[in-house]
Amino acid sequence: MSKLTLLACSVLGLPAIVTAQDASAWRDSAYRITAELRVVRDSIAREESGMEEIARRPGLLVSATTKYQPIAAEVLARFDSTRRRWFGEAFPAAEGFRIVLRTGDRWSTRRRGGGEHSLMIIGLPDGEAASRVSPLVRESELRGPEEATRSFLDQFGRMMMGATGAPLQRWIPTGIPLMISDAARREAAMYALVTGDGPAQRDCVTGVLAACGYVLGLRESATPDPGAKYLPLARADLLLTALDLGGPGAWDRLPDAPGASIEAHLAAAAGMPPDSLLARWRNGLLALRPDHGPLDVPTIAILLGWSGLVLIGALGIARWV
Amino acid sequence: MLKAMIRLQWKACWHIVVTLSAAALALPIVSVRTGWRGTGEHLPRFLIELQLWGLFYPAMAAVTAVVLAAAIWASDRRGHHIYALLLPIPRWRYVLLRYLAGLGLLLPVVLALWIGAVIATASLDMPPGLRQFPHSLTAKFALALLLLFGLAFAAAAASRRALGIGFRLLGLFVAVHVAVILLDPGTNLIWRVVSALATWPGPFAPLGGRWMLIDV
Amino acid sequence: MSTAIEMKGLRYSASREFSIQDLTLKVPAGALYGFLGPNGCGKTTTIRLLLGLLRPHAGTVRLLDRALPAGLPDALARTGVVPDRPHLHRYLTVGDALDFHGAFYPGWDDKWARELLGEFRLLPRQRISKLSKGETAKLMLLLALCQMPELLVLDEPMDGLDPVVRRDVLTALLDYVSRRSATVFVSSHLVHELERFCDWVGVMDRGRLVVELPMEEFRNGNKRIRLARSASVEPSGAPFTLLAREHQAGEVETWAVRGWRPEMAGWFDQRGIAVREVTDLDLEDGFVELLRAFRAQHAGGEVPCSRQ
Repeated sequence: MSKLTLLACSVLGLPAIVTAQDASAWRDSAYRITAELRVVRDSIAREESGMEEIARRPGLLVSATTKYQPIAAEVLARFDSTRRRWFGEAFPAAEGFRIVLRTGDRWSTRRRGGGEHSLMIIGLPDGEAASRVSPLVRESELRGPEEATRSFLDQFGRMMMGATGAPLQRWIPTGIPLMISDAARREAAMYALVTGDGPAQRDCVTGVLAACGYVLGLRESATPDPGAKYLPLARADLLLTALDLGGPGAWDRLPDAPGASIEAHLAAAAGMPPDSLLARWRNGLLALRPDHGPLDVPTIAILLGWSGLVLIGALGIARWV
Repeated sequence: MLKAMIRLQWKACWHIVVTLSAAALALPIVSVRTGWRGTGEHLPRFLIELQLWGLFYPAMAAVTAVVLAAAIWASDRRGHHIYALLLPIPRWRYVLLRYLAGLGLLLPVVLALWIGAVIATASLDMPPGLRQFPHSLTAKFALALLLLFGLAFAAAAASRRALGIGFRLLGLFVAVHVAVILLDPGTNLIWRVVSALATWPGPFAPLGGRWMLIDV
Repeated sequence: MSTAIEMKGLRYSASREFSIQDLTLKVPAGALYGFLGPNGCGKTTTIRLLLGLLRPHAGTVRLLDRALPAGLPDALARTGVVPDRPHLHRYLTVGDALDFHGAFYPGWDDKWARELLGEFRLLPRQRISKLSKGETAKLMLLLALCQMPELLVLDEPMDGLDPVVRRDVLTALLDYVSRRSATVFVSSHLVHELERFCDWVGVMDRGRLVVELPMEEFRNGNKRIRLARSASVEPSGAPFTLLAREHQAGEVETWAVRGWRPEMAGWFDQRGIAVREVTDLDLEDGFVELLRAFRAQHAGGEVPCSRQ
């Protein structure tokens, strides 16, 4: 039986145990549960102690069990580079953080796989109050350095958003998409912007910043029936745009102006007024919009020109005698 | 002579043309149908999926070009080009006849794609912000097919001597590439050549880019 | 135009083991030229050089008064070719092949093509890949004839065909030649095949032309002469060509000669040798003796001489 199975059984079994009729029996059961939980925690700790430290960077280190040791150093490098770009030196907690990604036995399956394997990034000093997360993930999420880095950034982004406080976390409930490329994220946000067909969404495209504020969940609408708002991806893109515009230290400025609106937090991060931020965000996305269809004159010229050259070549090399 | 050549090539390749045309007809319809879930919040995802489907257009052009070019020249190659060489026309003219007749075989495939694109877009209620490009997508496909067919045609028509020279040059290039890498590990000749071919004004630059039947 | 085909000093090396050397050959216009030689002597290679399918390393070729390779398309427009192996597109039907072939020749006689189809018992809907060897040979000849060419080049057209098919092919060929006065250049390793209708013969062996002369001379000039040998006599200075000599029991010698004429008996009289008997050498025997003498000479030896 896997450790998580044991833990789950222990938790699920608690009501049955509590229905024991006399207090001493209940007390004995409670002691048993506590002992079992300690066994599971110790087992997890033993598991982690089976990992080897592979590489270090200022404030970070990576450890892995045998299976993931070959990719660990590269994962740490990529993770660190992206983390610094968006969050500077900030961690989810002053005491650091720990993200352990596990693959292997699932608590829902009965068959044993090849055993559990883990890859762990620790943000030092990794104190008792450090933010921790240890999800069981699919093997494909740790298949290579790129996939593993994405998985770590996904978890780290959620931890960082959690650390900002409830309003911002509620504003982007899906977390920050750090694991996709800037180009892919911006393109998806552009699609969301230009395909919105609600009244406020159309107004935002045409340049009404108040409408943009509404559809991004930052402001109330002044008009009746403004229509739908944009997907959380657009909000995440706005947040990341604000961090990009704000440059180094942008994330640290984000929680400034406590009690203020989300718009004010974003503006603080970006280092500019809210309307300027919204205008820059909107214009940036509209600039990504293709200005022509699949075919344009240069493409036609290239294809026809090269086709002609190829035909001449074909006539020349078909010399069978 | 061109009519006779077209009839000859149609006899040899009609089953291939029909198969490829069916695939070309289906491609735009399937690409739109699998992702379309109406307007609203599904649209960004639909457009991203459509972008991925866009990879199938240059791939389809490549497959069509290679298969048809090989089929066109198969009989001549089997007979060591003797029949062609005994005809009372210069060799280059025979090759040109084969090429022009080959273009005729590409037409049904292009037409099928165009019909499929028109059907796919006509069946949708386009929201504001989206534009349809059945005609220009088909035109781009046709031009890409023209280029790729030319390349495949040249390779299939090449004499053994020309192919031998080609392979030897390729081998020499690989040898130079290895030597350069040993001297300067940062230099990658193969990557430079591939980049030159795949970026403007290289011939394969247009094969990348946007192949969107529906776009913003 | 007095010469349909002219090759001068042709050289071509197919491999280390085989080459065409200094081939000079002339086919008069209107001739029915039989190109004889054993298997592997270079007949097909020569024909390919003639038709521009191979490029010679040295020498010149003129076909119907056009110099190759520049004048090749013009010459091929007036030349019907039946190669040694089928070269047609196998996925076509007989009818398709006629339509395709006819599109390239302005002089194509479609009416005659359909008539020949009937005579050859070929059906337009038959697929070429399903034709027998004889049917394929007839189709190739039909395609060559219906172009109405001035020159027909046939490489081993009867090879592997049954007598009935051979007769059909020969009849069609002779019929065409009689109508059009075309020149025919036909190769074979079977002497008797060419004897019946050729009026010129060229013999090839090991990449070289052995002899080229009118068929009448080739047929009639080859003799077997029985001599009463009183003393050994050398053939140097003889007005004929000695191919082989054979010593027999007693005082008798038998010579195989080429280019014999009756008055040449006087040459033996002058040397005091009695000519006992002069008989015709059968064409095939003459061909064999000719080759033997040629090979012996090129090996650096004398005329082959055997004893009984």
